[in-house]
Amino acid sequence: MNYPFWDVPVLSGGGVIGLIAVYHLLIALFAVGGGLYLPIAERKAIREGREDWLRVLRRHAKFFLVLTAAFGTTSGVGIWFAIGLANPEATSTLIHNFVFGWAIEYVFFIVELTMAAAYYYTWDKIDRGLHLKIGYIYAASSFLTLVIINGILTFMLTPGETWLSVAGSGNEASVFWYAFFNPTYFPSLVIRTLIAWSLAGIWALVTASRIDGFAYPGLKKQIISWSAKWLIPAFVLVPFCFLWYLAMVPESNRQLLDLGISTIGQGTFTQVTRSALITVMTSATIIALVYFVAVRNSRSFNLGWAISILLLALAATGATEQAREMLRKPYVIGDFMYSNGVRKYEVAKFNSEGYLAHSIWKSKDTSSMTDVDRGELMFRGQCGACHTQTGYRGMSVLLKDRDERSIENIVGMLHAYNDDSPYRKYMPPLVGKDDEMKALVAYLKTLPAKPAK
Amino acid sequence: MFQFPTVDPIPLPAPVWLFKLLHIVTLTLHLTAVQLILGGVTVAGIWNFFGREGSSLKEASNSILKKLPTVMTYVINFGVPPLLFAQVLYGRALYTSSVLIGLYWIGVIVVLTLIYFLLYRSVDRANEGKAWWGYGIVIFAGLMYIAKVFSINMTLMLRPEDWQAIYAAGGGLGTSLPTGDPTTTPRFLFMLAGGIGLSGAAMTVISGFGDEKDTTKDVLRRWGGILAALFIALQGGAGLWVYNSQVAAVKAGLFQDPMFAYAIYAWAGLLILSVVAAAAAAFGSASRARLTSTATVLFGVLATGAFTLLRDRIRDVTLLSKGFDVWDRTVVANWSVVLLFLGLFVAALILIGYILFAIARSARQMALGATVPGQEQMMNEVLERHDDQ
Ligand code: HEC
Ligand code: HEM
Repeated sequence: MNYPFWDVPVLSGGGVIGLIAVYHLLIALFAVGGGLYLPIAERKAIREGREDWLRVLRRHAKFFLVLTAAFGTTSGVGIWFAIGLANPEATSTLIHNFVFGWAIEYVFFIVELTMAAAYYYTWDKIDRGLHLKIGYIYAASSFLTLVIINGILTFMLTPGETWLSVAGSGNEASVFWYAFFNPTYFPSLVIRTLIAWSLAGIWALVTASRIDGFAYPGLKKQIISWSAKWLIPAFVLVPFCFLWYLAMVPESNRQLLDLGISTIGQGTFTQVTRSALITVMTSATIIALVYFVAVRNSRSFNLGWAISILLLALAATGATEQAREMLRKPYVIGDFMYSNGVRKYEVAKFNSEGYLAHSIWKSKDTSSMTDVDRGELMFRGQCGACHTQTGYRGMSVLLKDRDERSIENIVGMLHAYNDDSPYRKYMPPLVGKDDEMKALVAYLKTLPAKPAK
Repeated sequence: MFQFPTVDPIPLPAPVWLFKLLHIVTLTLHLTAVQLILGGVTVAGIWNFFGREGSSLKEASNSILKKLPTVMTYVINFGVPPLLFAQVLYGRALYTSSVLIGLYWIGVIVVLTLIYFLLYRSVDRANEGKAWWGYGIVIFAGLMYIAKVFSINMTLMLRPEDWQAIYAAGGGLGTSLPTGDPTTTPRFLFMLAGGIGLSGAAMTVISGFGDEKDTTKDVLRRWGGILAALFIALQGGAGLWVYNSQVAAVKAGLFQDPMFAYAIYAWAGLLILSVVAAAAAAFGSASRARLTSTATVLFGVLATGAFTLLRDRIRDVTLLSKGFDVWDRTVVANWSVVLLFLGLFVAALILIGYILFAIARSARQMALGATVPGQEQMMNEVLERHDDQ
């Protein structure tokens, strides 16, 4: 336990990251897709002399600016704060690898935000050609932020052979571009772009829903139909891209999915499949709602419906993130660092020298700690990344049918980490010396909801 | 001496000096924007409360307010790179102190979102001719919270001797906010004083643009100049207090550091220059205000740069006295990435400059050409025509 562990009851640190991430994605991908939507729509309106469209678009631009600035930027910083708290070791690895990647992303970001503000504040105040140009620069820079962050995100699942072969040697920087353009980089970029476009359409429906459909039925119908078209590319292409993506995921991770499909209905691995199924179902519902409720009945399409569609999009994003997260287990950085911050190559060292021996953290400010205290530190350091005591993946429930023997048993299995251990697929090896295992058992015994008999 | 978490085994991807340079430059920009938002909300909020409907004070308060959402954008976006570089250079200390106050640290995000949104809402209210100081109070409180948490985190990272006790007390979630560091409060007041001062300087500048009434511009220029002169001088005092609050070992270390001495002289000189320029902007002739106000802001920003350097020296000397040498790192650089970054950075600045220039030119032409008469009516006709279809 190199860093102190951030112990969030019930939710877990990972849960905090997940919540912020899903909320952020919905807005950030809109910032990318909407960035293209606005100038393209504006150009169309100008060409066709549609002042009424321009008015709607101006309102949309305002909404866009406030949403992406006040909620998008802050939630992006929020993810970063959260990963630094929940997993400082992994954050540090990412930052040491990609600090200039982030710095480059940041350059695009400054351009993007400056252009977003300029686009809104100069509406009707400058020459329209220039205004459009600002819109396109916005679109390009926001897409480029995706181009960069996608490299870092996909790296976490598939760092790729080249990077892994030098990882730990001190020469990681020499293979920066291999790590960046890692195996899942391109499929993932295409998928994210398609989703970004469809989110642009969905968020535009929010603005469109507020047009008075009885006063301006024609306008409302046209804007809705045109916005709905933005969902088509994703609808058609994402399934294929998803297969492409899976083909690039290492065999071992993919097994998680196969296992889920063949043993549906029980156990852990179905979580990946279950999440994937939720994504498929919610996406289909979105398409149906957009077509039947928005396009076909545009006049009475109201904010309530628009928000329902948005909530479905939130669910789909959440489920997809969940699947991706599960797919990566037991690693936070594929084949390099486990979710709890232990590097794969450090396992032997921790086993011979002890896990807590290298930690400067104590749970109590006393010189002598009991076994339970030490066990609590073991739990925080090695299990807390995925389990809470009583909430998310809570130990009180997972252990409720286990007595001391059977707790010793699972601790032993996690420590031995044999090739045929069923836990290998999603839990990291438990590291440390024998007395540390005893301490962990002593602590775990205190957790079950009702004492096991 | 004191224990820090072990350093990341991946070497630094560029030399320490480059990170330090980037850190100090971007942090100067962040602290400039922070001062503008702190002071801007304070002054504009107070004026909004006292200003009567239609008065110059009210108009001045609104014209300051309307710039603040954009300032906020830059507070955040110039906050990102220094945090990035600080994590690279000081991660062992900084991740640790952040976790120790974890709940408050993540709380920054919640508060930040709220006040950013309220800023936009306040602008809406101002545009509707309504008072917004009620929101102003909430925004101010939120800013205080964030600034305080930052001050606490940036000082807690320098106190490895206290980490154990805080971790044990905070129960892992980070619920105990450590107090009792004698350097936190002066650092905090230092930023607040500088905030009002630098915002005053910025007011003198905006008094030269925009389409406010002349009396309003006068308020912005005079009061801005007075606030700048007064509070920049106060910031000097707060700076002495910050220095005095350091422990003897740090003070001694600082005086052996030539960089610190240069930065002190530069800072003191720039403070005096900006106080003089501010007074000239306030009381001198209005016709020369453009020069004096630009000078005030320029000196103010440079002074911010100088004290950012001082802060940096205080941090390094303090950490060194506890066994953490920031220069002691292996470096394995990949220059292709670094150069790509630097090249893009310059290209981005040029692009932004070009666009802002083009906007200013086009806006001027549009203003000269005035609006098309009857545009509103024309639009209504268009609307009806389409809806008839
Ligand atoms: C990488 C994340 C991760 C880490 C780290 C982790 N686990 Fe798990 N663990 C899981 C997942 C996922 C499950 C399945 C949970 C479910 O079925 O809801 C699980 C299930 C369990 C179960 C129930 C399994 C069963 O067969 O009864 C126990 C007990 C358990 N974990 C203990 C631990 C202990 C002890 C540690 C620390 C040494 C630990 N886990 C670390 C992810 C993790
Ligand atoms: C309204 C929002 C904010 C306010 C009022 C604010 C205020 C401050 C203050 C007062 C300090 C100086 C602390 C001290 O030294 O005593 C500071 C430093 C800092 N802020 Fe901000 N901040 C804000 C938002 C942000 C955000 C969003 C980020 C990052 C994403 C950020 C990054 C930093 C960093 C990295 C430092 C110091 C770095 C260093 O010392 O190396 N700030 N901020």
